[in-house]
Amino acid sequence: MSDTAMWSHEHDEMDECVRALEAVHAFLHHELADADADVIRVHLHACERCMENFDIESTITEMIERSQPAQRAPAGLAARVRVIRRTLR
Amino acid sequence: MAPLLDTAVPDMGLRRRFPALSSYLMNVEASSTDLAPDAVDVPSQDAAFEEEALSHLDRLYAAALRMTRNAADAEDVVQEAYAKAFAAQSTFTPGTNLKAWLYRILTNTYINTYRKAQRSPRTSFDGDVEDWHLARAASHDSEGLRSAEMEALDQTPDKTVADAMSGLPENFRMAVYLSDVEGFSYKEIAEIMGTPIGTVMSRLNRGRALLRDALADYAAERGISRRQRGDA
Repeated sequence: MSDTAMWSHEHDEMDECVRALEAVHAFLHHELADADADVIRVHLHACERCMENFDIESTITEMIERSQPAQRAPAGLAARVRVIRRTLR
Repeated sequence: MAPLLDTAVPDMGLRRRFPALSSYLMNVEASSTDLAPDAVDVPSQDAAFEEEALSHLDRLYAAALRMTRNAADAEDVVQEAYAKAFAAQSTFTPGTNLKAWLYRILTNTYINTYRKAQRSPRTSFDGDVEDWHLARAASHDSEGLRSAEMEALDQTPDKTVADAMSGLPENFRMAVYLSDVEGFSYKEIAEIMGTPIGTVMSRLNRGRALLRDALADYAAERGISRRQRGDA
């Protein structure tokens, strides 16, 4: 396969792109077996559009994290939970 | 087998052009998540259990807030979950993941007690987002977000992302929250939500697809879509 063929998205491998997208979350969360992750890496190097998609998904993960900041439980909740604990003993 | 990538495929500057992905493009050793159970000193186990359980209070309260969407109900769910956890302490295996165990109790408490009492309909939606979503995204010609819209993503306020999260069907929202915010593994999420791993993956994919659509809509409304940029 020539470089041009690798970089254009007119390759006949829609199925590969669909499979890559199905696995994007699992890939970014290190949930894939090594061999499966390698298949994705090879595809990403060959398909710039999928690479863009993965980059966007990775960014969205960071945005989700940022949008849900840590929260402190209200004062008194811990004490009430400890009371519950003592009543159960 | 010899390592496949990095050496076999030229980098072509991809890491520089996709910085958010750079760490994934290398065949990094995934950090081992194997947690070998430590030997536990039985006499101190009881007090240690209470302290460790309470160390997760803030996170559990935050998760309960995402479920109930109001502070008073969140407190109730958390208190009830702790009561159940303490009552069921003997069923917890020391050395295993206490946080995931507590989340499972919290989730069950919310689903079985709170939500039932509220008589809110159980919205599953598991079958409602069709696979055309994936096919469309994979065809790379959708109106969705593109690299050109990464700029729009950068400009998206946290509040917009939080609202998009709140707008997700409950099962999708919880799966995305447990994975992307809490960092639980798929296996742990399957245990917490009481579903097979395949269902977890499906909920994550669909939840994320809906979220991405919502963010693309936001960008389009604000006139930062690719087409607008092209006209400028």
